[in-house]
Amino acid sequence: MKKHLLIALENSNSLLMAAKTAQHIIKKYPRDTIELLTFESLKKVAQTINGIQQIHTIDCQKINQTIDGQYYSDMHALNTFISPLSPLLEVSWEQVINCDASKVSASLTSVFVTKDQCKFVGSRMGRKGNRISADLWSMIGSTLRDIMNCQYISSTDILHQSFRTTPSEECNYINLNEDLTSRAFQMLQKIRSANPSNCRLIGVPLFNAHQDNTFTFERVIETIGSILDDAELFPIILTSTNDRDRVFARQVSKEFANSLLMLEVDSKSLPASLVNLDAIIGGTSHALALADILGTPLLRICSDTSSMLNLSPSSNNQLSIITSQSTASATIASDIHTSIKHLLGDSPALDSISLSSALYTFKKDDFGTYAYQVAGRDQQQFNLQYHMMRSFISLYSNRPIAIEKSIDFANVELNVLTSWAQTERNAITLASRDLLGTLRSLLRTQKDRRFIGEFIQSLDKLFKHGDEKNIASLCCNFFRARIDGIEEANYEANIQLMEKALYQLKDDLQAAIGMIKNIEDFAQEQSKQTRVQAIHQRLRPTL
Amino acid sequence: MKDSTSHLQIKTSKSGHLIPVINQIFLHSEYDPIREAKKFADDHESLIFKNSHLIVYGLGFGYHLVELIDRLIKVHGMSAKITVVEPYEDLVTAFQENSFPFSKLISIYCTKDINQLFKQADFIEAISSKPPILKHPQSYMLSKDFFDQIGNYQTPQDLKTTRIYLKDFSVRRELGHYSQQSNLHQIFRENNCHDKWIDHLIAAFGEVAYQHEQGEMN
Repeated sequence: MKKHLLIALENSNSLLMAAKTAQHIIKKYPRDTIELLTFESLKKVAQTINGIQQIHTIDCQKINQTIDGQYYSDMHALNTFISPLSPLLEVSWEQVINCDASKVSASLTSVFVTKDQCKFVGSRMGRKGNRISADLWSMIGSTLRDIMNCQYISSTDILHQSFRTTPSEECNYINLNEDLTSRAFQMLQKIRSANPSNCRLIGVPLFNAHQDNTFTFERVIETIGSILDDAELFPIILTSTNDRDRVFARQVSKEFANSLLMLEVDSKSLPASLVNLDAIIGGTSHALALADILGTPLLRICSDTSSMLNLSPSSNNQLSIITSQSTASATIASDIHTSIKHLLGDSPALDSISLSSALYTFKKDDFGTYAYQVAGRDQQQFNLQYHMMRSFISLYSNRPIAIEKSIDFANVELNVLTSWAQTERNAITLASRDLLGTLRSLLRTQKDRRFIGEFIQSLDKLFKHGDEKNIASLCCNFFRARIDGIEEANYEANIQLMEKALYQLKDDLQAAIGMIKNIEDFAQEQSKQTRVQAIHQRLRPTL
Repeated sequence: MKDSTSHLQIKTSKSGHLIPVINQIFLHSEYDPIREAKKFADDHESLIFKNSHLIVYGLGFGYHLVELIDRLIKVHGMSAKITVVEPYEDLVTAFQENSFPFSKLISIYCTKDINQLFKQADFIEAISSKPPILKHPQSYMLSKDFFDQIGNYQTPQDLKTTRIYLKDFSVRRELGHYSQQSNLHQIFRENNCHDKWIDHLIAAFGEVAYQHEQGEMN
């Protein structure tokens, strides 16, 4: 029986990541034990994760009080920091898994790896304070998370690939408190029995709602109003024990003459309430992330595609609606209402969704979960780019997916595809030009160290391509991650590894060109077939 | 630490209570230490009402402490707490030998060395919450210089002095690799080469202590 240590210190989202990770470990190594290291402030949430044998916590509040204290030496704060770590440093771990992108987690992962030479997953810090990724998937994970605003594959997919477990929809990551779940069930059952038999309970979580720029107060009011107008839907406000949340929820309730049903939930009772609701809607909050892994149908209200993709959906049973800031609240509320009905399987007319919103659903393939547009304003350009970048990552990691299954090429206009291919090619050409420049200056540096400055400038120019959002930028970011991981102590060895990485980048850019050409050929062929089919259909009545 | 210059005698008051005398100074009333203790507590009634934790300079034979803790418990229940500082070890020994019944809510710290006093983490924890300080008049008069140093104490931060505070011996040993004149903050800021596990540990600690803002539940 081996031991695995999960480190999740960033926030409650890193705990949800830890919950998913634990599930993958259990699946692959059912007899092994899993322990978790987190902050004291997150302990209550951590206790809801299933499969964790022991939770160790670092008390940040106490450390910060000690640091500020007049009589304390920082050494006392170090004592507080070390005390939960000391017993962990004596254990021989099978692997240490860093579940977030924070520096403190990466540094602590390094403590274990350097001390015991154990395996690690995720990222750790190197000798020069550089970030080192455990494997290709960790590299993709931390690169996408750190450098790019937009994630083209979800962290759940990264987990699937890291642990070599198949994508699935299991919802037993969270430890449900039986007593609380049954109480929530009974309470909600009473509401169901007081309403028509086909009435569905829709949860509207208002956690940190005062900070939500997407699901604003006006939009919340309009949305709840539209739910109330539908006899088949019943809204339930979920609020926390936090004072600000309470005030916000009361203000919302006041708009409806205090007639709304409000549930005050904490981290222990939230999962119990979520599993008993028919659906949940809201902006980005931990309640939605939790509902996702519990399998409760959900509708996320996002401001843009980046925020939709950053949420790492794991279940199919959800929709994301992307709204624009300027759209009237009533229009958004109507779109949300149609989306809820679609989520609940009521088959509403999706073409009633306004052109200021875009509705996405999620599907699964061998690679993991992906977003797929079902209604709303035309997002062909984004959809194409998203699927191509995802396809490139699959190609890159040698786990190919059938791109034509994830995007409907018949509906992509040929000129959109041609324009995309041209833009991508131009970006690759520019990156290739800077790559050759960097290679030249590297060769010069090998002969004469005085050219090192010129080489660094060229390298910097090459890295800048990583700031864009295209396939070339992916190649450049992966290149950067490889460069960051170089740890050789001597100059010559470093230069050799740099050269190797540059040649690999060259190969990656060429592979990208090959992929773009394949897609173009495929689309051309499909377009030809579609035209032939259209001609056949036109001719059929005359035959 | 035993003080060779001090001379402790134990005498009996007119009311029949034992009273310590150091260098001819009576630490309690020669007539009735209990009545004196009640008056001492009366004088600090408002502080007792507002605070569940008090620091008292001077142990004597504890008559004033018994009175104070009784009143604190009445107001604050079992969260009441008294931290006592007493420089005379002989006095503490004599007090314990005479086995006075004493509340567990009273903690006594005995040392004449101010640095030793501030090496004790629980004492620092007690004093850092800034509870009111009550000076037992006779004890304070006897050791005024010592007690005054407590308030003005400047905590050392250099590794050489503070490394011994660490409870984990492997970390304490590994910290020996750094310059002993520097402090943890400097090491965190200036150490760019992370060859050993201790370097990573300090980096992680620095992120939490000097930079990290606690993750919020979103």
